[in-house]
Amino acid sequence: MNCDLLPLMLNAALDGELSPQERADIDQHLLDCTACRDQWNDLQSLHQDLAAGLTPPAVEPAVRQVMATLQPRLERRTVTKRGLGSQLVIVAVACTLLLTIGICFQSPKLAQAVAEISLTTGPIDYKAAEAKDWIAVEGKQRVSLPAFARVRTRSKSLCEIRTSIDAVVRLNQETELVLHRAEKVELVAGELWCRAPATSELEICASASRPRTAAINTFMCPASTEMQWKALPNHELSCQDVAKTPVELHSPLANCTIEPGQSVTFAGGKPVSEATWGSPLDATSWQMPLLVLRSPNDSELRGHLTHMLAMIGEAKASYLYESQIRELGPAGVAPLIAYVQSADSHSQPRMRHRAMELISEMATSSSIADLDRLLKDQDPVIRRLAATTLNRLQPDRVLPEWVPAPLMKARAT
Amino acid sequence: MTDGELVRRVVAGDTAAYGELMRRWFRRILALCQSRVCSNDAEDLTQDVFVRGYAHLPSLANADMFGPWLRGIALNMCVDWCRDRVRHRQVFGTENQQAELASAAGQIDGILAADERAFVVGQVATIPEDLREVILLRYYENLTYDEMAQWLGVARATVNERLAKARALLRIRLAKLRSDV
Repeated sequence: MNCDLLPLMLNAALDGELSPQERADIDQHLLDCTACRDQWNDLQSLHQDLAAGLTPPAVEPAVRQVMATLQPRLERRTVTKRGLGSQLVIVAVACTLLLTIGICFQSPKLAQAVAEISLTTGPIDYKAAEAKDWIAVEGKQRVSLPAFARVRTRSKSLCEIRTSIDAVVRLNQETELVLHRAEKVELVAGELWCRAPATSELEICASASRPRTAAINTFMCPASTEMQWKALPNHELSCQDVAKTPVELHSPLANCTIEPGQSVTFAGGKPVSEATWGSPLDATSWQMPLLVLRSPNDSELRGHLTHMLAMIGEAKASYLYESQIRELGPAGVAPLIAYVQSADSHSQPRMRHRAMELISEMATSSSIADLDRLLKDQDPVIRRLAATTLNRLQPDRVLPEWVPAPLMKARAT
Repeated sequence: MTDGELVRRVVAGDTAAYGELMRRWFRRILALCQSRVCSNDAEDLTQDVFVRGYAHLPSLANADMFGPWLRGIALNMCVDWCRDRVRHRQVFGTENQQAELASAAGQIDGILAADERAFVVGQVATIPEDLREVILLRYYENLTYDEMAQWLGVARATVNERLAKARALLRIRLAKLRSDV
C-alpha cells in the first residue's frame, strides 16, 4: 500500500467510510508500517478530542426562540387563511370603493396612505420608503403617509401622526421613525409617545438591520394604552406607561406589566434594567407645544395645564413649570383663559390666580375679547389682573368704573 | 414526512411543521454560519436565517429543495454579515481571528495535557472555512461523506480530502503546542 495516499484512507477509516476489504488492507498495513501507525494513533486521539469537544449544539432552545419570534407572523398568516373567503369579499368591496374614489377625486395616493401628519410645531421631514431625498413639511400642511414612510423631526419641531386605525403617535424633537403600516411603528432614534386605538393593538419596534433583532424587539401595546418610548443604543428601548392604568406589554420573548409612571428598559426583547418612576404628566409635558395647536378646551391639554399650575409655588423646581408655560408664548394664552373661564377652575382659586398671572404676562391683542369677559369675573383678583392686562394692551381705553381705584389713579396720572 | 410535505404544511398554516424543519436543518446551517462568521454571532445569525426562510417560504418553487434553498439564504446572510463588519471596520478574519489566535497563544503558555482538548477545539475556529465546515458537519451532525457531499455540492472525494486536511492542520498545531510546552 502507498503511504502517500494513506492520510486519506486513514481519515476515511476513522469516519467509518471504508469497505470491509479496504479496512482490512489498512489494518494490515498499520501492522507493518510504524510511521503510519503513529499517524493513526495521533488521528484517533485528535478524533476523540474533537468528538468530545465539539458537542452538538442544543436545537430545541433555538427552535423555541425562533418560533417565539415568528409567532405574530404565524398568527397573522393563520388568520389570513381562515378568513380568506370573507376577506375576498371585503377586498372586492374595498377595490370597488377605491376605484370609485379614484375616478371621482383623481386621488389614488389617498388609497395607499396608512397615516397622515396631523400637527407640526415647525418644519419636519418625511420621505417614502424608496425615496432618496427628504421632503420638508411646514405649517398646517396635512401630509398622507404611505406604508414604510420615514418621518423625522428637527431640533425645534414636534409632530403628531394619526394612522388609519386611529392610533396617535407624537414625535419629540430630533426623533425619527418608520411607519411600517397603520398598526406598526419602528422607532429609529429619539422619543415618541403613542396611543393605541380603542379596538386594536399598536406594534412598536426598535430599529435593527437584522430581521431577528427587529422581531424580538417588537412590542405589542394593548388597545387604548398610552406609552412613551425612547430609542437607546444597541437596539435597546425604554418604555414608560404614561396612562393611569397598568399596561400588559407583550414581546416575542417576554410579557411585562408596567405600572402607571413606571419606566422599563428592554434589551433583546426582555426587560433588563430596574424600573424607574416618574410623573406621566411631567414625562409627556414636551407635547404641550403640539397640544396648544388644538382646541383650547382640549381635555389632554387641560390635564397638562392644571398639573403645571398645581405645581407652581408647590414644587421645588416650580419655576420650570412656569417657564414651560411661558415658552408656549401667545399660543398658550387661549388654553389658560379657557381654564380660568371653566366652571371646574372655580373650586381652585389659587390655580386660577396663577393662570391669570401668566395670562397677564403672555396675552396679546388677540385675547382682548376674552379679557373683557374676565372683567366681569366674580373673583376680584381675576378682575384686577384682567384690567391690568387690558391696560397694558390698550393704554388709551377707558375701563369701566368698577375697575379697582389704584389702577384708575395710575391711569389718571 | 419529507421536507416537501412539511413545507406545504407550513404554507398551509401548520405552525408546528416549521419547528420540525428547523430541527432537521438547524445544525447544518449552524455549521455553515460558524464556518463563515467565526464568532458568537453565528448562532444568532442561524436563527435569523430561519426567520428569513420563513418569511420567504411561499416563494420556494420546489418544496423538496428546502435544505439547499435555505443554504443559499444562509450563504447570502453570511456575506451580508461580513460586509457589515467591513463597513464597521471590524474585518472578519483579522480582528476576530487575531483575537482568537492571541487567546490561543495565551493558552499555550500555561497549557497542560488536560487542556489539549480545549486547545484543539479552539483551533477549529482558525482553520479555513471550507475545512471548518466539514469538521463541524462531521462532529455536529455525524453526516456521512455522501451526505456532506450532497449538502456542500462537492464530490465525495473532496469531502474526504477536506477532512484529512483539516485534521492534519489541527495535528500540526497540537504538535507545535506540545513542543512549546
